[in-house]
Amino acid sequence: MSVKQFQIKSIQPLSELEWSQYQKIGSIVLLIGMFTTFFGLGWDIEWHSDVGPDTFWTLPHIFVYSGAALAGMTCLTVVLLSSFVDRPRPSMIPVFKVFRAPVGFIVAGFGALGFLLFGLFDQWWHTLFGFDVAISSAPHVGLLLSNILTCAGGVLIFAQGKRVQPIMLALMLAVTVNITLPVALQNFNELDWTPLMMVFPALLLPFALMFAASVTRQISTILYAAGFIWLFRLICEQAFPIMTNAYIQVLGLSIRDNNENLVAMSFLTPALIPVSALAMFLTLKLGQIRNWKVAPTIYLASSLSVPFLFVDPLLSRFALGAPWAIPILALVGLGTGWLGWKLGVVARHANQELKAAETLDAR
Amino acid sequence: MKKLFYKREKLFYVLLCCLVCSSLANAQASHDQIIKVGNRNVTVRFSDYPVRAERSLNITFSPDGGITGLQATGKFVGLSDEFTLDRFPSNRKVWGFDDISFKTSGKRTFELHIIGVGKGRLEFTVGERPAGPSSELIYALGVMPILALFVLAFRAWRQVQPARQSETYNWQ
Repeated sequence: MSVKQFQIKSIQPLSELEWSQYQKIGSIVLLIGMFTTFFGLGWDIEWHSDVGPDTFWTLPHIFVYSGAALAGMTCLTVVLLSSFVDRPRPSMIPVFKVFRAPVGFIVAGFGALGFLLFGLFDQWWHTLFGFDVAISSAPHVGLLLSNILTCAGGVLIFAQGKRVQPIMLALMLAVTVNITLPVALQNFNELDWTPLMMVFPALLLPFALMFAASVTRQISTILYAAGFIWLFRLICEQAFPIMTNAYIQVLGLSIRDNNENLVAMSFLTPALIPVSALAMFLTLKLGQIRNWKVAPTIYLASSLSVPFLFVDPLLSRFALGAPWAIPILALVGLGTGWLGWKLGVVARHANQELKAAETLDAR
Repeated sequence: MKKLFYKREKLFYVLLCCLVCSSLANAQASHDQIIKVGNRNVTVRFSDYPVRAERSLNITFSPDGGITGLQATGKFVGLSDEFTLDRFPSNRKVWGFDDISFKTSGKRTFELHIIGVGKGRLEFTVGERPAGPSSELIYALGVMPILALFVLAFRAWRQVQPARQSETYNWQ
């Protein structure tokens, strides 16, 4: 049974302009949805540690779930339109022989579905094991990793198209990093694997920033992505305490006695990311100007960016306790930076629209 | 087709009943216990009783005459150091823990020290973990989404072979 058979005959396939417009709207709504989830998640973590008693129907939870629902509904809409209204296009991949859609929407859609299923499962889990507020509880791990899958789908969406837009890609990458890094660090902290926490910034940041540069072929995207990561960190740090104080007054609750006044989501994102990115950018720029070979320049840029990640209130505690780990972490960054660069090339080659546009330009 | 629908419908109701039954089976009541600290009686309230391993509950401490002007510390004997006891977040007239859970079953002793009044001991038993899926199984399911992403990336990588692409070694 081919995918084409399911097209609704009475509706005209979309024109190129319509297709690119509804894909653009879908990608922006997905980005808004994921930002809403990130914002709610950060607030929720702070709410649990500062205020405590909870029900499902808190404002931070509503942010988390409405953002995920928005992302899920967007993906569903794009998949249904692509499958049954539009004609097959090179950028679409088939799913279950019935549906077809751009790969990013498929990945993000599965992430949103996983989030919904693990969310329902989490509610049942609470009836068995009580209201656990640990982020590392088993259903929470499924919830959060599904959410990261949606973000990864979002990154793939912005890595597609005839012209990859550096700003939009950088925004989506920033949301992804701002969710993934604190979640990984907090999980490991709760599971008592604390010294291993140090590896996550070295794993994730050189990878994400090099991926951005490779996909867009513009090294300035590194600065945009790092700038947005830092901006989102700042928004959380400034907004959550104000919002928490306002919300507890509405509910008639109060802050815990032992409140540390710590915005975990910000605290777990390295403070000097812009400096780290600047080191990476300048090294790459120098390599370009001096015409150095690409691979060694990327190794150097990635490894140089790592030490700055540990000049931070949280991570410096571990770094000062184990300074010998920094060169090892720089090596980890070297590896993941190169991996990010190569995966960027993979994303470019998988982007059929870009290939078609480049072929046309070459003619 | 209708038969298939009814079968699915039946399966849905069976699943729903299982969920409701398992929830009811695990529904527990609150429980009060009184301990003596110096010359005062302290009412200890467990929000879920009996206490079960890995199942969270609230425990509050309410001394006769209230907590105004008093400070308290506590420790789980053999499990923790002494720490300051905070007021319960949603009821500031008592001290307490919200959403506390115990990893394993067995006997527990909590030593309550009301400064200037005296010390008292609360003894209770933590029962077996509620029957339910093991955390390991759920963790294994939970990592599936991210494994799927790795599989996708690996397949795309093998297809494109970035090491053989000129873009990998060029800035443009």
